[in-house]
Amino acid sequence: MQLNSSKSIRGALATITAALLGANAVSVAGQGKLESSLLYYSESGRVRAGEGIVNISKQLKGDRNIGVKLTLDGLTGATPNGAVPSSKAQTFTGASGRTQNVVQPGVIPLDGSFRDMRFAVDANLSQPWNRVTSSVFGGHFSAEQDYYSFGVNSGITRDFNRKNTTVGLSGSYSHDIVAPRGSAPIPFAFLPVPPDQPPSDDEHESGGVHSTRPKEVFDVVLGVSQILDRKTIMRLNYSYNRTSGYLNDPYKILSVVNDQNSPDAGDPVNYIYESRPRTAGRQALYGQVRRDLAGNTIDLSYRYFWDNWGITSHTVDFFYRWQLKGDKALQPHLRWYHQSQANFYRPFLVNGVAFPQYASADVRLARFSAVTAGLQYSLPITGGSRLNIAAEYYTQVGDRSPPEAIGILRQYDLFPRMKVLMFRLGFESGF
Amino acid sequence: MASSRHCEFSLREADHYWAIAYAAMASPCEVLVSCKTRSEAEELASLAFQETKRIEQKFSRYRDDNIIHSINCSNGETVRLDEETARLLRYAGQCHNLSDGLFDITSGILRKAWTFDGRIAEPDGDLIKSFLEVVGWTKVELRDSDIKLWPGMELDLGGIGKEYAVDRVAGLLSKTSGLSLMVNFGGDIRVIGESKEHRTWSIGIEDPSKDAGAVGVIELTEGAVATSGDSRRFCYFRGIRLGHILNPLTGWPVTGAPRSVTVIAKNCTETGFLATLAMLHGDSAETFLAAQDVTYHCIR
Repeated sequence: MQLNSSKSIRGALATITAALLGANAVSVAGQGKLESSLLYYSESGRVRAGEGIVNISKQLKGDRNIGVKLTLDGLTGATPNGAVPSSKAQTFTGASGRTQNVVQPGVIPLDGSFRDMRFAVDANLSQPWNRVTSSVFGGHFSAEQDYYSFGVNSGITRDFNRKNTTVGLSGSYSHDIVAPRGSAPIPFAFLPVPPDQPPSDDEHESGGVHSTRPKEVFDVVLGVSQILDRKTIMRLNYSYNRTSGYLNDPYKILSVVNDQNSPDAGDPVNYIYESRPRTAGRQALYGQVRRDLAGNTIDLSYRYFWDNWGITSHTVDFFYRWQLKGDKALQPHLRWYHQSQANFYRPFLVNGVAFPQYASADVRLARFSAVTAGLQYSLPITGGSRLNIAAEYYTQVGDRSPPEAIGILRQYDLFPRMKVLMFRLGFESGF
Repeated sequence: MASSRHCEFSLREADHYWAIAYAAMASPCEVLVSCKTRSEAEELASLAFQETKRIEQKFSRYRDDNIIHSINCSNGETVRLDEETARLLRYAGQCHNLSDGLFDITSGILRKAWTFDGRIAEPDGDLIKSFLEVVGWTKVELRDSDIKLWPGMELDLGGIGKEYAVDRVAGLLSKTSGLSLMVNFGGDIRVIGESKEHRTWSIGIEDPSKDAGAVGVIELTEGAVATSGDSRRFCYFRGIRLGHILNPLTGWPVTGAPRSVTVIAKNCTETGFLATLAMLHGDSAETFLAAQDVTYHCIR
């Protein structure tokens, strides 16, 4: 074979060497990353939502990293307002006081169709102090028609044991403002039932004098991540959350129904706004193991949650990332969730029986189980970018005929099964 | 001078820098880093040592517990590759292409036909021919995340692994510390400079015909130096001195190569490959290097 010794290979060599050394660990200062995604959420017969996220992070000089995330979402549809079905048609006044919503007999009442937009911006700056310690500071702001949130967060992480162990402590504080459409109802205030006249321009009679209510949210997370061997990483987190202020959902009501002995047992006498405690203390323990299996990844996590409202929950989450030819990947995902009910959860209240101190018929505080199953396909596209396409199905099952159901309520489905389909299109790219 | 309490590496404080030394990859390994304190030096030493050992353990052909052993014992079966191994093998394949087949990581087996101990060799032509049956990157089926070799074929990353380790360790330490540093594994050198420091590292080039002393000094603030030579491993055949670099296409040592080729370029992986390939070009080593637009020194 005749060798051509005067051929220049330097350019081609630089390219292949960069490909070899460029991947991870070698100095990447100045690199930026752009992630964006579009989500479509559809809850059968109820809410539809769309969300767009743009997340930009860039490495600055001295290994500092800045990240900015913008979120815009839009929501339309209706959610259960907390009232139980009735043998008669039920009429509800919209939160604005200007619309009326008539619910047919036997049907679970939803609050009148609503639309909302939310805009959120999150920013954070991480800064290494030395080779083992780094900190992060950040802030967020979000606004929607009836809710505003301003927050700050900070955290510190430190590596031990030759970087095999990382311990992190972070905290955040958020000041939120609830500004319900109409106004913030007084807990247990009655709704006009049934409104025999068309609603006036005045706010509904329960309307309080304050149109906005504050809420303070304080979070602390203590986490440890440990490299078990070259292929396995484990994380453990403990988190504590304390929320105080206006914690009611201003749009959730409870039916007050006729007692057992009444001929109309189970049909509503009137409706009241819900009443929740003014503080909540929530804690969670989270454990995760991720292992590399010859290029594929298996990830299993479990979360145990409990709060002083009486809810405990278990979440088991599993995904498997299956690396395919051509740098494509398929990622099946399964999640199982179960929670017990809050001790003040009441699907309804009974007329003539003393009201408890707190009560809410919000199904999110009920006992239920949920399963999520999804599949994500990810593929490289031009210039080192990646495209992710994912679909997920979520279903939630609760107690359709709770034992406390009386009269006519025994015939109705008090916790209709919830089914949700989600589609997500994601794009990530370096710059 | 004080020795470290860790047995794996030794530490020495010098003028404005710390010197870390350990043995790995059959070479003396030295890392000079412009840190100020012993604890900082210790931490970087441990990082460098671990990464070097990790690469050595993963890609050494002298072990029976790594991916190279699995591939070499696969007997024609497909072997799954992790991301790093696949990347390294892809690179080796690209080097094979760029070198028109002169650089071939399947050629290691040919060494069994030669003894480079400075004495007269008695090569067995039939043995070399039989070895050539199982040499040749074109016989390798490398896909995204698996590889298949002909039965009897073997891979040897000796021509890439050390240089790769030098760049990895240098990159890792630079990213971690943000300091100027030099990594030197038995003459394969990478220097990374921190712009504020303007530190220059002096690197001596030795003359293969002399036992000690440098014939030239290279001053580097950023870049890599690699040397390929036959100073210590050679044999004689019919009165001709043959260096240990084998042509994978013929199974015979390259003739007419310089005694030593030193190349200065950007990173150690690229630099080491250019030095090795220059040796493989034999007589025309200088012509080859001149076409590459790199700084080089050949000693004949």
